[in-house]
Amino acid sequence: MPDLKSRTGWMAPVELCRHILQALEARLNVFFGAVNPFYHLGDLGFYFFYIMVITGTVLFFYYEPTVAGSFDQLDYLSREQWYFGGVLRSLHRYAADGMVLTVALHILREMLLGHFRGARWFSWITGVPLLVMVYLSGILGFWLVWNKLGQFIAVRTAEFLDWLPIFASPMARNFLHNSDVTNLLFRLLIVMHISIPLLLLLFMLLHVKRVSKARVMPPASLANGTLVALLLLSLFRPVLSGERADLATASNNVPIDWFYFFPYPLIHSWPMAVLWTLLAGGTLFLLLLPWLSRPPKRAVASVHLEDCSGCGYCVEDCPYEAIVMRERSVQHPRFSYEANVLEDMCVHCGICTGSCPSSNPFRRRISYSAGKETLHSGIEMPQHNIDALRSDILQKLGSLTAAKPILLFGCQHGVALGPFGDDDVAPVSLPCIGMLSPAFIEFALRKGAAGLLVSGCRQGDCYHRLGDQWLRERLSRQRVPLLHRTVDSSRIACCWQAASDTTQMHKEIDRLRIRLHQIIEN
Amino acid sequence: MKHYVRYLGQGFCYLLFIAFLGYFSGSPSYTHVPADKALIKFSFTHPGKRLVACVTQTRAQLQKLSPQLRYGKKCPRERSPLLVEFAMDGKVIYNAKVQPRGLSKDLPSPVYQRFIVPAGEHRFRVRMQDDIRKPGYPYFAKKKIKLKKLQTLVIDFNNVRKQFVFE
Ligand code: HEM
Repeated sequence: MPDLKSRTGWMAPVELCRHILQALEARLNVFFGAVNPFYHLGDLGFYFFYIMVITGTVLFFYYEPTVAGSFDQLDYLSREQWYFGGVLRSLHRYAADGMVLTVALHILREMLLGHFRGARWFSWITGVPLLVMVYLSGILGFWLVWNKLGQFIAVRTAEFLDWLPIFASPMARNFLHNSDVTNLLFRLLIVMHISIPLLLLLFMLLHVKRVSKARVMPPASLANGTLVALLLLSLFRPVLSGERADLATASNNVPIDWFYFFPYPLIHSWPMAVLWTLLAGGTLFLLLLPWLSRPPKRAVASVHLEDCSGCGYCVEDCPYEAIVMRERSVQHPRFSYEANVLEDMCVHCGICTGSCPSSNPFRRRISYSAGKETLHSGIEMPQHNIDALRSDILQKLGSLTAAKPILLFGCQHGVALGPFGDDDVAPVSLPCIGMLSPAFIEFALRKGAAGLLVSGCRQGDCYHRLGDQWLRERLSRQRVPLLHRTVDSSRIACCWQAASDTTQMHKEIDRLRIRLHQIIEN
Repeated sequence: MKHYVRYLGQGFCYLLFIAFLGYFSGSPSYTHVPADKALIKFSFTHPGKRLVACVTQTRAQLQKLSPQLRYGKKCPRERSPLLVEFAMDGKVIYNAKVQPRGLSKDLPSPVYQRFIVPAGEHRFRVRMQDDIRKPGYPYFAKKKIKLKKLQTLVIDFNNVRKQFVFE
């Protein structure tokens, strides 16, 4: 269990929910590993959207935007052409349901993990209109079928909007008699049902604009599994139209799609003022959330021109698109470019330091400006510079008296390292494990560490999105800067766990102890 | 973990997902109007009488205004609220003073009320006054109607014929 006592006020339930979420994700990890659907909720949202666009385009050619035709055509597809048109229709509907479900979980997850803070405000804020557009597109889609559910939605939506004193005549008066509903309405609806999703796509692209290497397509296995699952559902529980809309008969026993219309039954049970207050208050809360809990302002990454060769690795690795390459401000005989940090977008994760080839503790040298021997990386966090990291490693190693000292590297978002300190284990904490350049691993081993345990957030779920992935790729010598060939990889262990998984960390430390014992004895 | 166990586990998760999706995309069904009831929609819009009559402006008054505002008559736009009453089987179930819409209160007053009532025969009485300054209800209608189960009865007001209609 998380240490709830240490959290006070409103943070305790948030912490508890986060713990429940992570426990659930741990169960799914057993079967899915890094393709855990909970780590891919955003890309699944995109995927469901693609399915809707493809199936919707085909359905459009069958659809007749008239009062009678809308129902007849879709009903015909489901009954007479169930094997193709019917399946497409069901896929369209279930993908729409899937999208609402994944988007709801996506918001919940991003909120619980605090992903609305700092530079992430942009993705958060642009997400809010997405929610509105997903919902609007859905309402229009259900309306288009003009069955009993369509009737229920049309009338309730109009009644809900009528609470606002902006219409001269109540909107709901457009649905008093069957003769009030005209073909023109359906033409308008279909145009809106196409244009709002197009706008949605634009906003979806804007939403991931500041997310570097954003995943807009789930991994193949997840995409295929989801498609097969939706196809099976469409075949075994095809979407049917039910009864035709008839405004002369009251809606009764309406097969509501609860993913979209869960609040609709409240429209005549709760006072409208309460519903509108909840809607407006909820939206305002979402919009203000990034500013309700601002993280303390910290210095952003700074570039040391003397050490920056303009290689561009930091630009490639930054998960927040916070670094750009510009022409060198001071001429250099060999290098043409230098890294520039976009202050508003930097979240001080330190991943750029991990990617910089000059983040090398072996190249300590005299800084003439400081007048003493110091170490700088081409790009680094002022509050977590590599000189301090180097000193920390040396000091920790000096403090360990055991014969086989182990350094435990970890990040601020995975398992807290403090409690693991022991006679033979010393923790070294970093903002993100992606900050650990392989040269520091080599350095720690050369300076006396018998082994190293590198830990970070669960695989595929790095708080800074890519930190763990970059380090794993460096350790396996697939990503620059590479771990030097001479380093004995068997002395390095990894543990990728969420903050609450302390047991696993204990196990990994014990396993490493045994392994080091075997290596050294042999 | 063995490969096939992983795949079985994944398959089970997908099954749960589609079961959840399939079930809640159409069930449980929702009933607002029970099968043995009927729905009445009492709805109309009607403009109340102007509260202040137009006044002819004197030449002196017009002279004080800039040229584009010199109209012969000055007509305040505010309308009277409506007094509306709806009774079923001798019992008043809706009685309201309905304000006109618009920032200057110059638009018609809208009425939109829903009542769920037992199916069967009912006596309805509706009346409306569109001038708050006058007593009584100049617009009045009475009707006995047998409502079928789940029937939607619309009681509207025809602004041309100036009478209530039961449809
Ligand atoms: C149509 C609906 C939506 C879709 C398709 C969608 C999709 C995505 C995708 C693909 C990502 C990038 C994930 C990655 O590659 O790591 C993302 C990130 C994010 N989304 Fe959404 N999203 C949607 C709605 C929302 C909403 C409604 C909110 C919140 C109000 C939201 C908040 C966020 C946040 C905070 C991030 C994190 C950005 C980061 O890690 O820096 N999203 N979304």
